[in-house]
Amino acid sequence: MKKDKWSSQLGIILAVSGSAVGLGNFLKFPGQVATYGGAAFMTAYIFSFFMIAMPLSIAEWTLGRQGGHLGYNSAVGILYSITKKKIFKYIGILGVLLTAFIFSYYVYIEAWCLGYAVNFILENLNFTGFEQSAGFFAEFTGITRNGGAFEFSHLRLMPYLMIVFALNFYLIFKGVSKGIEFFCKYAMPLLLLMGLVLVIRIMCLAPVDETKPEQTVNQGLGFMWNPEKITLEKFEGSSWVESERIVGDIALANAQELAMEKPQEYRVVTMGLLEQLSQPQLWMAATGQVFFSLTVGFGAIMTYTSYMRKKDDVVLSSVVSAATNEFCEVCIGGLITVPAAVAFFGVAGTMGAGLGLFDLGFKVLPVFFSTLPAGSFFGFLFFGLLFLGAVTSSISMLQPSLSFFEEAMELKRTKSVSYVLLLISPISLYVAYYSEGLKALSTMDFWGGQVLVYIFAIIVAIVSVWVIGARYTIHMANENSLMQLSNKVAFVLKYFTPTFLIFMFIAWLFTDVFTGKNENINDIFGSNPSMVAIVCLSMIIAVAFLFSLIIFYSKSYNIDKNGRRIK
Amino acid sequence: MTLGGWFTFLLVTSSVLIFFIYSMYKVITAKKVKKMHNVYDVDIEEK
Repeated sequence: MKKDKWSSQLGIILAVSGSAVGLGNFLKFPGQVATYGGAAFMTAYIFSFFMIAMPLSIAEWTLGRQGGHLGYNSAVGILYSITKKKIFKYIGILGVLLTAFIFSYYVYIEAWCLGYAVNFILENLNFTGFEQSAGFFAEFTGITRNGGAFEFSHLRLMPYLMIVFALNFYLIFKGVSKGIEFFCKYAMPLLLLMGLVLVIRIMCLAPVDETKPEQTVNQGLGFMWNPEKITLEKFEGSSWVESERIVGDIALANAQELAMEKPQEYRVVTMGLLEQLSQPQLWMAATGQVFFSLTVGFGAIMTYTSYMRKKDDVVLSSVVSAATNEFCEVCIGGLITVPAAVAFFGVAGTMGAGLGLFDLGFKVLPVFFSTLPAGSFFGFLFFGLLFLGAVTSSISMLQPSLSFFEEAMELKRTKSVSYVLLLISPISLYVAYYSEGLKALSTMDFWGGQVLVYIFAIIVAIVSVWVIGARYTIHMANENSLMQLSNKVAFVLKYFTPTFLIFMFIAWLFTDVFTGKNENINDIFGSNPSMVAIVCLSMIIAVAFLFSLIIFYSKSYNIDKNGRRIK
Repeated sequence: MTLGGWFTFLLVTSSVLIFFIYSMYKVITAKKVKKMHNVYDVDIEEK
């Protein structure tokens, strides 16, 4: 069987960038910056970028290229051939499993983006207020009742879900070079162009209402980037709680007046940069954002890079991919959603609507586009941009499973695609059907997209640091590289990256998971368990067991003393 | 937006933009790199 390869270095760069650029760049990042304060958040973000994300990304690229040269393309074969330890065959399952389960719900959100884009260009979406927009979102996605999304109408999710499913499987069926690379070569420049058009439009936005000087793009940028975090706090019960974020002179004067009038009830608090940086939640949010944004520790990069040629440059390619991702996140994502939302709703209105992933994108901005001149076109551009970002990410989530079936069962691509389709489509349909309160999506995201990602990232760090050796990993990365990494990078990879990663994982467990308030944990182990959540977790365990059996009986994992696959 | 806000905003976005343009420039102008040595043929345990 002829082995598929990337046809050019730019192709792999665009494919990996596409894998990294997704909904988190355009929807989650601006909300996080606004919540935690630009200067403080970006300080922690940049620190995490250089200390965790980049070293780990380079390690994953290097392991992938090395594993590909040894004859393997899935995390299972790559980790086994490099470590030559049988246990890593089974540990590598995580790198296949988590992308498959992330795909199962990611494709559901991808269909929302397509549905919104199509309905905007058809001028079907004209919202007059937030409630109307939120109501449409609930109906469209089926959040109000299970099976709500399973209706055939252009104003319901189902047709779009079928289209995105067909598109994703068609692209992986065409192969790495003719499918994924071909699509990303056009999709990524188009995505950048659409993003730049939107940024220019939003930056040139005149005040929506002349009588409300606090509702401008400038205030939106201030909400995100002002280094001091000024809040109006209210005394409730026995403690002061944040009541409102203050941005702009008028809002500050009003808040100060209120605090002067009722000093027992209200106070204005200004938090400086160092004080903000002393908050552990800020560090966790920044690390999580940069880590998930670069798709480090997902197994997708490892699989993609296993299709690289020996002469391809690992270091430069990983740096360019990271730079493209950061450009999309900071220079495009950071200049669209929050400034537009504040220009329309004001700071208080935007915070009231929510800064979450779905709130800003699918509830707040559709109202903004409905009122904007030529809003249908710009709404189409925005959701088209999200859709392209989502497709380039979702195809990277299918490839590890496809490579695993091709490798472990020695199947041709047609059969492997069929197997992946048979495996993933019931899980995706389950997520889309049990849409009430997005329970299935939330469960899959927690176990597949957070717990397993953290664990797999730690494994990648352990393999590259302690099994192979950090210096040797960097030595392999430097092979055929234009930019030569020094031993300082090896030092960071050896000491800082795993320590920081393990510390963040433990901190996340204790501040979010083991608090007794985590809904996903309570859904499984609580006094009132959710059957939908239990089935989701059972599916993850069942697929892991199935993959273990395939590996156990597979004859593909015979290697020589150098780890090279014996055929 | 305050002066500090403008400073942070311009510093962060221009740094990211320069990083992006520089890395793109490097990849477009990159020449084929002379191979150092073939690490692939080295047994990892013998490193």
